Amino acid sequence: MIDYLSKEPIFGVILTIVVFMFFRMLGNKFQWKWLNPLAFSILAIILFLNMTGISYDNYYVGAKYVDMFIGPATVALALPLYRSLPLIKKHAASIMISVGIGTIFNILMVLLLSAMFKLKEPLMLSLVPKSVTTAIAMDLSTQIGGVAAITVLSVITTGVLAPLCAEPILKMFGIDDPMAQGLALGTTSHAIGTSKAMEMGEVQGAMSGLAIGIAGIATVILAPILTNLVDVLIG
Amino acid sequence: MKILQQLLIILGFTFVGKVLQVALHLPIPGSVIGMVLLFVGLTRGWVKESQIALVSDYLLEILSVLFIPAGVGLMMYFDLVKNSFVSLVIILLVSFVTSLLVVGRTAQFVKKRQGGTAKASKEEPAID
Repeated sequence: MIDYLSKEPIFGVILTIVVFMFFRMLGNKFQWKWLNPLAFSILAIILFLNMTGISYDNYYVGAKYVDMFIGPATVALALPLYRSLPLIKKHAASIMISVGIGTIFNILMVLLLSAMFKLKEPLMLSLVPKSVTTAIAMDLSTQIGGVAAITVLSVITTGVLAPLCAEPILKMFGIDDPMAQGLALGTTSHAIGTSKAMEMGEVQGAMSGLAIGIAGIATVILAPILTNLVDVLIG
Repeated sequence: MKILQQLLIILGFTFVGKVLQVALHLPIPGSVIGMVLLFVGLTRGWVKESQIALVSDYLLEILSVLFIPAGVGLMMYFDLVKNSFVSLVIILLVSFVTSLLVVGRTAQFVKKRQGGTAKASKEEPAID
């Protein structure tokens, strides 16, 4: 009976939405900044499926219709990028240089550390896109040979680091310019970093928002090149 | 009809992006190609903001929910992650903190140099 009903497409969709809304409401009600509804929803649903014995395949019968809209939502990211165009034009040099260098540094750092810890290759490749927005990261991960599910988790974990520790670190190292703070947050921790940036100020929020799009595109272009390069160098 | 039209435009760009990726063997995800195309379309005026804003803003609002199914897929990869859990956490933490500093410092550096050479305009980064 459970097996039969859980294969009903609506089941996967409802479970996904209900659990997310629950954590969202919980976080809003108690003002818990650390409670990332996406991360908690994923863990709660895994737990629920394990306890009820419902397989991932059954859940995915419905959940795939939710999954399907990641592509169109990624395309929709063009709109916020377009809206921030005046801001991009005004500070083009600072934005392009810092986001570009940051993206290269970030990818190399992940590859280097992964080599140091002798991570298995699919794991390493899953981590490469971890600083960009989930929509782009997932597709890119599959493209370069990573595992989408691990990428999603590494993206969320990276994002949650922003509200937890970014502000004191920025202050400690003398990064006090609002624009620089916003770019740093958006480039390294996508939308979750941006919500932190918005909290810090209007300029930070806007800069962080546009850095998401630019870092996303930069990572998509640079990740395959850099992973091949490092692969050739380290072997 | 308005919503259907807007949805159709977004889905159209998504599909064209995928078609281009496959046809040209590009190493870039189709959805990202679609995003760039839509961005170009908006700046060139081929697509007006009002023609997609309703559906786009809706999709962006529910964005987080869309990633849950993929994330739950982690339950299939527990073994792969379990053995390297500590290394994973260290890699994520170290690369996050260092990259944060690199971007912030670079942005500040470039901005100061520009401010110094270009007639020291003490311009506040106002949003306009």
